[in-house]
Amino acid sequence: MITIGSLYAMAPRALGRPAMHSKRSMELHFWMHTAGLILYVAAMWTAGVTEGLMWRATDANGALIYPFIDSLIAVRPFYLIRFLGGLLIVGGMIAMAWNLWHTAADARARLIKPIPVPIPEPEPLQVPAPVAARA
Amino acid sequence: MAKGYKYFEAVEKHAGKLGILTAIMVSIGGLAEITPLFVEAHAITAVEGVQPYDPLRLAGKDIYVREGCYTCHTQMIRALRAETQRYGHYSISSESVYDRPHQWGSKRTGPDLARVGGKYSDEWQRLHLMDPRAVVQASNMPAYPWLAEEKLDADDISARMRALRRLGDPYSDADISGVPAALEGKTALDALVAYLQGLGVSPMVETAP
Repeated sequence: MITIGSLYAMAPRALGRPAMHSKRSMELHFWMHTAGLILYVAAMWTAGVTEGLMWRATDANGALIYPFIDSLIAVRPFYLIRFLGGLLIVGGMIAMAWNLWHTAADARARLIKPIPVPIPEPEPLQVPAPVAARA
Repeated sequence: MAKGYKYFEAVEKHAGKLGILTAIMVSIGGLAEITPLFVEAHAITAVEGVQPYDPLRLAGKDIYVREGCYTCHTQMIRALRAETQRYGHYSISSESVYDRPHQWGSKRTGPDLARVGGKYSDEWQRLHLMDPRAVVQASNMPAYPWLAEEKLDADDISARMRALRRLGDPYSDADISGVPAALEGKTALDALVAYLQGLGVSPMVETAP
């Protein structure tokens, strides 16, 4: 998030604009990324604790309760939540790409604008004379 | 002001001097931690019963690495009761001396494989690699059907064995010249099954914790 924030801070300065193209898009990105990150972290954390507890669970006789595959089935919903979180984060990145593209529009227009350069007329008399003229 | 302050100031006010002295102090700390580990790591030798990989299993190990099996399977049974109950005796460093690189891993999407050798039949392993859902209905492991059609390259394996010998593995000339015969008619699937069936079956480790 620090990287993203610094991009938003630098881009207008580097591109010679007073601000980013859309402030609302920046806000949207912030909340998408925050929500995505929370979903991602919470899901992975819960999945890890679930797996750990299931792997070590034993019954009164000291026998393991769950075969390995049960722990895999148990964490499946958490991986789906992580996928949703990841989608939100990628979506936020797309919003940023759109925003940066439009912020850079002005700079792009300036780049391809031809700069008028005076083209000098050929000198009528040159010393020494050109090779062709001497012959 | 304390009398020694000018020495302190002499270091603190000169970034270059401060940087060099800091680097020296940090290096001393680092060396104190790393050097003993280095000596210890070289002191570990194969215990009786742990053999270098034969050509087929060596090929299988390379396929294990190539297909990225280690990203979902560990080969490291921790010294916890639930672990030893599920997988067998905890892993010992001397069991990995011929693994270059070791396949300890860190993520268990699938179960630990450090002692999977002999747990299932060769036929089960073959079926499972071709289509995991055929034997474990809820499995999310990918299928590896292309292994059954892939031929093994004897030259490649002999070159690997020569390289391992230079690193200190006890392969004889006969071992290396026997590679083409050992790999004759074998597929990548055969090699991987042979590798899996050899995991953790060294005689020095009892199966019960």
